[in-house]
Amino acid sequence: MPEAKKLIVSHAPFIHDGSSIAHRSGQVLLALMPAALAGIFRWGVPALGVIALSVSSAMLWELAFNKVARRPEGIADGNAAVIGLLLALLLPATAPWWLVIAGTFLAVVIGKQIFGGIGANPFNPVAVSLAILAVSWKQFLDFDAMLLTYDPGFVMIEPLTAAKAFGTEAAARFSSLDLLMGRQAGAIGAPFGLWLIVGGLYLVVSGVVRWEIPAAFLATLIVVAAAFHLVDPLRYAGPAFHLLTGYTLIGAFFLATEDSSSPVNFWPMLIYGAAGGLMTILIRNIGAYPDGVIYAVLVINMINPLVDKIRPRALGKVT
Amino acid sequence: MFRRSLFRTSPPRFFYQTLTNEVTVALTAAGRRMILFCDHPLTRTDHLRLKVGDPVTAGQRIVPFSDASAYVVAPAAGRIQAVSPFAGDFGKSWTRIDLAVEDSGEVDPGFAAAAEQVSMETVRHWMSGLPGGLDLEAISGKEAPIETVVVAATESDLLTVSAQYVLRHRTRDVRQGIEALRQITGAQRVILAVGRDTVQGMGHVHAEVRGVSTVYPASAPGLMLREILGREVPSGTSTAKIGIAVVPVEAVAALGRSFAEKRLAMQKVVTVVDKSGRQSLFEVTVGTPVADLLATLEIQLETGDRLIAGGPMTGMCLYTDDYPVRPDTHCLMVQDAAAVGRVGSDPCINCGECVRICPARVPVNMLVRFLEAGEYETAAAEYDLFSCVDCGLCACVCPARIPIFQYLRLAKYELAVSRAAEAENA
Repeated sequence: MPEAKKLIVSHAPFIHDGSSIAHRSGQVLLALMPAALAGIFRWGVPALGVIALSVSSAMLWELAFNKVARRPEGIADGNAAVIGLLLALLLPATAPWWLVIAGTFLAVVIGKQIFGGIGANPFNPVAVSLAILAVSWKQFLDFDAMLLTYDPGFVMIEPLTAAKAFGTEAAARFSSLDLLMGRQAGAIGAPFGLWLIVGGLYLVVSGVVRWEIPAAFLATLIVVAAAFHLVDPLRYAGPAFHLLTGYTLIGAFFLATEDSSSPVNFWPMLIYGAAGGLMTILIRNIGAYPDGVIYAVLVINMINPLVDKIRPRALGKVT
Repeated sequence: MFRRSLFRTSPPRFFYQTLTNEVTVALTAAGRRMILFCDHPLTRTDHLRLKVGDPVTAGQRIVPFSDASAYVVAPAAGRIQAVSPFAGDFGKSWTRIDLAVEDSGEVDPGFAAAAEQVSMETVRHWMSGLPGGLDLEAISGKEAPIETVVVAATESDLLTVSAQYVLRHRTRDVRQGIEALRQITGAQRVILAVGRDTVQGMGHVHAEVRGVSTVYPASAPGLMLREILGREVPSGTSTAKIGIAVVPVEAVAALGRSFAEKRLAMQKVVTVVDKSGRQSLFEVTVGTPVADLLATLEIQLETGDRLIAGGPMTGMCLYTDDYPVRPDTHCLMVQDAAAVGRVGSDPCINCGECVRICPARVPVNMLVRFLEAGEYETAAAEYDLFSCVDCGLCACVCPARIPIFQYLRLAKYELAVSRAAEAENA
């Protein structure tokens, strides 16, 4: 017998569509770029500093934890970078360095790694981190106080805080176009509605984000906000205001859709998204906080395993 | 083969190949050596009745063991060169018999006598190795009387065109095979299932013709029966349970020809896909070494390549080309070392791609967690393991590159083993 060549033996299937976790993370980073660049352009070097520190420290926390816990290194999958960038876009441009580093620690280590790493986190790591930061150091997430030094030439009052205190009258000072274009006080990336919509739609058409979740989230938010507005137009701002302020758009497209903590079946995705929109408006209009997106995301993360049990009958399943 | 919409809001779709003029058809490779597999493990040699050097005639029914009824039929005359054990996937083991071919022209008369009677007995006694892969249990009617026979002229995997070739070029054999199957099974109804793109011009086959979707894996029995008959096979059971026998068209053709010519049909159609994706069709005797086919096409195997028996989705890797064309080897595929993808070590990220592409609506994202943990009973009871139709699409689109399909097969195998053991000890 002639000398045999050594063949590779592996199992089926022998083709793959080429997708990877790193590619998906790259797509999310790309989709966040317009809002991040707009934020740097608007808030200047401090914003760039926060973004750079947040992304790098998130990746380092991931690496450090993997080393200490002797787990396979996951830094190359890009998930830590996504967490870092998302967190940065939710913080004020003047956030102190230790707040950023504490935030990425909370997100990467407390929010993700201690549950077992990527895919195992029951809650969105960024939402977990921001919720803890907001409770622990709420003065640093008070955008009115943090952005005192800025005078970009438009009303520098955080719209949701103003609306919470003074009702629709205060909300009326902001035109929808200004809000859409990001001419409002707020976090580094969250105010830039147009760019977030562009990035979010890109993720939808590139298949990284399931359209059902943001669609249900935003549609329900609009309907519920409109209902409140109709009942008491003086106290409750209209749907366009709620859609374009605070963390609404970044939450609907980027936070609620995080893979691990969101459902995958059709009806559950709609229920999950709708619950997010409903909770956001309930917290904003009835609850104590001006913005409810972070807590709404945490609440729907919590109901995710339950709603995702609603699924079609499998082939040949006898009930 | 693979189509993805510009807007990736829906999963990608995979298509069966249509037999076109670009395919080189009907090459032959007449080797001087045949390799036969007998479905019985060679664990001890004291019951072995074969000796190296024993002569066999063409068409001779060889029963290698004195304590087992397993048999092989010699495709050609010759001498036994070697008898060795062969271990396959999932604990399956066979006895491998190497035959040096000697053209004596002598034909064993055994089958010609048996073929006078078109019956299940004849089929059971002679045709377990019929080209095309005939599942004797499926047509035996043991579980439930067979009411309907579905002749599957659909492809078993992507890239293969073998079934379409058989249907197009052996129509007479198929018609005779259908008649034989009617007699054997007593089925009232015979349905010819063909790909929807080739459904035209099948009127003379004497069967109801039904078109099946060309989107993979529409020809998986469970999905095909739902599409053409509107019936679902209860998960975890076979189609025979609901009185339906699904028989590959090539087995039907071989059955028809065997009874018509009173001589066992041994020719098998194999699609060979080379490294560049070019397809060639072979008509070779079952037992012909794969090396002979590759040599005909002048395909060189290099270190690191993959040689796959079956197809790109469901095939099995061979570690050598010293392996025969077997009754169910519809396709042989050579994959270049550079094209060999790797599985990942990442965990499931719950992206849901598998759930959306699964044709059987299995909650793969949940299932894979239990499979990784070895919780097979829970996987079967609560997460629809047995609804799976073994198509491999989930692993194909997994961004974490989890070997999901292997997990699924392993789980089914492990459960089958443990349930068999429980039944034995009950």
